[in-house]
Amino acid sequence: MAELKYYIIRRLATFIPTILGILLLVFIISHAIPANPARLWAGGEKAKPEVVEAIKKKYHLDKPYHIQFMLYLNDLIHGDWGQSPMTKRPVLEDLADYFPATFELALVSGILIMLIGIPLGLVSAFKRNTWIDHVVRILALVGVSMPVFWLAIILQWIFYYELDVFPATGRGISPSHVYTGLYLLDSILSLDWKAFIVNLQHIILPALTLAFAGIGVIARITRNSVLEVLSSDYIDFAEAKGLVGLQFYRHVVKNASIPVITVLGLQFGMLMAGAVITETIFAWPGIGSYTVNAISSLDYPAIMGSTLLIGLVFITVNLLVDIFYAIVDPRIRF
Amino acid sequence: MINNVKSYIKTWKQRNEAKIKEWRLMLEVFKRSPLALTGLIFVTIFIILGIIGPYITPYDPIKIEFSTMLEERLQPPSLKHFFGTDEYGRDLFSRVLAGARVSLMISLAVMAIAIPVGLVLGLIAGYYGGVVDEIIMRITDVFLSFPGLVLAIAFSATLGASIWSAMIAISLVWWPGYVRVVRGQTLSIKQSLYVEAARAIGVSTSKIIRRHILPNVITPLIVLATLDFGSVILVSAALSFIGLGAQPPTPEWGRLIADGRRWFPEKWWYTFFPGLAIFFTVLGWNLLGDGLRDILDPRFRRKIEFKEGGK
Repeated sequence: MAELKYYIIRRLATFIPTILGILLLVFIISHAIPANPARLWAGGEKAKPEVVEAIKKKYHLDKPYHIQFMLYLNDLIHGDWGQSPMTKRPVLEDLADYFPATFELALVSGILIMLIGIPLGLVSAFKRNTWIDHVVRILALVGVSMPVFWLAIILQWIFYYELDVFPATGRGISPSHVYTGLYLLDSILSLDWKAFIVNLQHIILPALTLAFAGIGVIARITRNSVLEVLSSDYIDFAEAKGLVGLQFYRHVVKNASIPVITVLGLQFGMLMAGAVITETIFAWPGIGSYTVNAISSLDYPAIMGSTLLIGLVFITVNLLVDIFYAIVDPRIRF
Repeated sequence: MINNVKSYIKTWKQRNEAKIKEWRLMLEVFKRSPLALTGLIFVTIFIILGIIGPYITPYDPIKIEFSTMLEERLQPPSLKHFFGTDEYGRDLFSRVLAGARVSLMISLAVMAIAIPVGLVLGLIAGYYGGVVDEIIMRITDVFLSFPGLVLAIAFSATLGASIWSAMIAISLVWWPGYVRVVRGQTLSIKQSLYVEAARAIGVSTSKIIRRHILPNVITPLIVLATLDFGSVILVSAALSFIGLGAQPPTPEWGRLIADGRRWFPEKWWYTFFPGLAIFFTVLGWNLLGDGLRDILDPRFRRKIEFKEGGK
């Protein structure tokens, strides 16, 4: 296990420069690209001159870039992610309020992807080149070709306007006690079943929209991974040894699950991004809606704050996936 | 003169016999894949519309006819207006046709910027290695640490809402993926025996890169770029949908859907048809890319060759 420890340490060591790089990139987008960042942050052309001056002073925009970057890092570490002109509140507080909704949506989508995508993939691997396999292949292509905002509108059309089985917008009702900010979990914890049902009805359409592309991707990965395992020497050996039924499938599933779980992990990061568009259509009060509202009111501190947050979540998920990969697959330690 | 040309073609054919056989095989594989052919048809239609679309529209896609605006506004699909009309009485079929050009322009511009940048940086990183490689790859890592759409939104919002800023923003997000692929491919070919042999007999570096590495890098790059064409169209439509990218009155598919949402679902055609246009275009690129991957994968090609036997 010593090797594994070194691998994890090495992986963590590359994590730190990447975080610094992310901070630098967001700094460049917000400080160096716009001709006059202070005016931009204050809300563009119609900003009052005294507000622009105050921002210039507060964020040291009169100093050289490298000093500005150091001061920017210092502000971030001390929890000052800027002030949002739209909500008149610190960006970090806004993000903390909106994040749980996005996280919950991504989590439920991830679960949907697993529950639908993996069985589809297994069926298409074991029934290779039958019509089921072809349907799954086409479904995967359709999934990645569908504009997510259009899919969302079509789903609203069918399930709200025509069938009226799911609500079109909103997150439902707040459970009687809020512990984690994840409404579904909180309503279970506070035994508020009415809230649970209502919130479940609200999350289904946005979660399905967000999961749609992932279902096909996971189905394809599962299929290919199972086929690869089935054609491997150790499976030939297991068959020769006389393994049948459950014991045989245990070998297949265990080995085929590694790439599937890896891609699932990476998909989770993509779900956070897809949420930006999905949330706006379903009026889901998460980071995505927050960002898009910020764009229409030219609220740059908010846009940069959520970009930074999504980037940090994304690489953290990737790090966890890599470490998981190294733990389950002993071949990956170099 | 003509004889000269003829004999030249003949010797060229003799010299490149293996290559020609390979191409025939590729064509054969392609012809057998109905999905790839469908993709090619969709993509061809999209490109033709992108070039001539604005000239063949039955009505003006941008100008508002104020004289007939009131009776023509928000009409459902009919023989006169295949896709119905918008709130200014403009023909949506014309606007969707003209929209192909905007999508084609943005995705071509992104490819024209991202591919050369990715190719050059990837070749340098892969071939020279060392500190240069380390620096290039760390920068690439940082760009890839964001989901593409999120970073594109940040760039595009900062640069201001316009088609040009969308092009630049998406290109800035797209090049790192190509660096990765080109570098990986370069690394593996650099270690092959024929490159080593070429170096041993004193072939210059630039010639090694041109003659041995580049041809091997191009293949995976073409497949990736074809698949990415669809993704770029999706991202640019998403940018316009949230108010960045193309601005009115430019007919852009994502923008049309955003405008049509106000009238949804009573005037469903306003959002429905532009979405269908995006979907089929992106699907076309994905089908074509998927097919190309099969064709250009030598393992897959051999399988067919062996199955055919001595034919």
